[in-house]
Amino acid sequence: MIDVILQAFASIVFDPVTLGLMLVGTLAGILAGAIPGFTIAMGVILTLPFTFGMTAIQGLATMLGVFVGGFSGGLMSCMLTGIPGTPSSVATTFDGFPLVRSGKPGLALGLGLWSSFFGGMISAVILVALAPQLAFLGLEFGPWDYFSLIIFALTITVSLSGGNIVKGLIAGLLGLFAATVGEDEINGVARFTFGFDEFKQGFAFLPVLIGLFAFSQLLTDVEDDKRAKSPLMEKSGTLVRVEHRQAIAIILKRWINLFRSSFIGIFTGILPAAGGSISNILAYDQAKKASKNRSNFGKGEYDGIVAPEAANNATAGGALIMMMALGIPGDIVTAVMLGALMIHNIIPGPTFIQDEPLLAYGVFIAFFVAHFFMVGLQAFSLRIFLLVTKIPMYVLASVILAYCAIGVFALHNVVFDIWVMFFFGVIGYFMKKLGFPLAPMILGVVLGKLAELNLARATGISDDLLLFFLRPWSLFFLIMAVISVIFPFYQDAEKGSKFSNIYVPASVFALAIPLLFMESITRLIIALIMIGISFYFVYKSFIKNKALIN
Amino acid sequence: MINSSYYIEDPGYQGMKASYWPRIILWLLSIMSLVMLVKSFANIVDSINAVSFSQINYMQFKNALICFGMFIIFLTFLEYLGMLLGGILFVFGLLTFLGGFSIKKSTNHLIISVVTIGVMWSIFTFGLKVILPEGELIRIW
Repeated sequence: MIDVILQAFASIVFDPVTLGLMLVGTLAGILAGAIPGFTIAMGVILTLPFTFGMTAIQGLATMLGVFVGGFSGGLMSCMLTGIPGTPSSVATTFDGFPLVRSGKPGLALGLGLWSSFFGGMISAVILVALAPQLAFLGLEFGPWDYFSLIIFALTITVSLSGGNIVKGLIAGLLGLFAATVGEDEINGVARFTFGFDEFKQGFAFLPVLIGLFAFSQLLTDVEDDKRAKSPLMEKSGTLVRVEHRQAIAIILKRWINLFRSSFIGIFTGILPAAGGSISNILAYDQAKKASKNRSNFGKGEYDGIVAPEAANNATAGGALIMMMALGIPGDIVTAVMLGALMIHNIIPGPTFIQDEPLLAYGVFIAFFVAHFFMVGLQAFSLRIFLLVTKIPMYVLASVILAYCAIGVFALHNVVFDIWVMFFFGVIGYFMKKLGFPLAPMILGVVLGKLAELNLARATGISDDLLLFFLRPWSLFFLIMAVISVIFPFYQDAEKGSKFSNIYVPASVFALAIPLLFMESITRLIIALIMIGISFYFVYKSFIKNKALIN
Repeated sequence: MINSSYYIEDPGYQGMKASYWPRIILWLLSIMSLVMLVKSFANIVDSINAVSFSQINYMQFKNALICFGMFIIFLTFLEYLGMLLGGILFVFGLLTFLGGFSIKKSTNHLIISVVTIGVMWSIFTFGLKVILPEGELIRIW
């Protein structure tokens, strides 16, 4: 294994082309993350067409640069202007902006930057350690288990994307349906082509993704006439000198907060569809609850910057763990990376790390290296950021729309793909207007074919549909799916109500049941602990209710 | 679509038929849509506050509709104008419609469209070796 890691290290660090591409990618990511209205996902999607001509590792390394850079770019705009560049830096604004206003902009930027760096490093170590283990676990999965895992990935995306759960489910189903158009992979039969030859190939995944996400976002950005014509930021901030040493010393003193926030980030990243936008707020909330200086939060508290920044960069590592180990994208960015791998005829799954060790470990190394670039480029990107913010949105949107068309054409050299992008762009725009979340639809498009393939394999092996409920892993994921569908109702339920009291222990108990049937002592012990925990929760709420009645 | 799913060919192979999976999705989609419809009726408590079609501010979609229109024109004429010329005209047109018209603005818009599309076209054509649509007009020329 060591020799594979060394080879992967050499393929990244000693290849000037790959390093150069990563450098450009990180810079582009920092800028994409810093500009409000642009997201990291959009930055990665727009990078994709450039990667067609690259090798798989070069393409992935470039996208990882954008991914990692994007998280730190968000902190630049939120600290200097008070406007979060990306949803994943919202919580950083709470204490970052007040610290800047109190006359310490260099320290605020330093804290954000180095917290991102350390958070990313911790998640990179966990990524290297956990992904191969999780992939090993994935080898136990049969088609039943895989199908149920995909169902779980879709339902959790629906429940975490916010808003109306029915609209989320409709969006997810629309995505699954879009993936059925064209010749099916099992029988080679044409479906929903309506006599058009172009439809036989189906909708390529990337034009759909660029249309749904980038195209529709650009249309939303230019919607307001006044906003579209004014510069991206009215207040674009000023150049500051980052206080590196002081920031590192402060962060290392707060190592418990750093590790706790990083683990929150990693865990959130592992959950499909739960990205940096959730982890940064969760970590901030936990840091506030654990702090002795709670009253200082919101006034420039150092812990309030360390927590969200460490968490959002750690989320990237978590999302990569799922993609590398099981081939299930953790968020939109990893869904794009999955698409990029497919362009190179590489299908990630449990055997990916074994089959493509150089590429897999190359991704791990690139994730490490990108964090060093992120720190190194911060001062330079700050200058470019101040220039870019003077451009009006309508100029940027017009140019990027044309670029989307060129990029999508480059995929298969067919104009039909541009029409597909346009069609899904229009759908995405109106879905957003009507309050439908786009993330479930995107995941539906990505996972649709995989879901059908596994369902066909499962029913091909046995007609017995009960196997979906009798196989432990399949049952485990189906229970997770049910729990995730009910989760929004739990969030809305009143604290102390019967439903909110029973939801957590019932979920833990239900998840323990399939673990009991897995042939492993460790899992049996985990299941018994989970059952114990669920009974403890029930007992606790019983005591609480009794005290209230008395 | 559900109706169309019943016309999907069955080659007679063993295993899951090609029509099963899309049919499952379409039925679930129909059920969800019905749930949404019922919910939307249940939510209309005060019909006075309900917004009718005539009250919707269609001007909010003006810029999006301009983008749609320009993009359709761009794609329709792509075969004749090619990616370079078509792209420049698309960006220039869109900048003019969204940003407004004056001699100074139009000059800036023209420079932006020529430079940005020129750079992108060069990167894809010479750097990434992608053969972008040349356009009949340039071919004849």
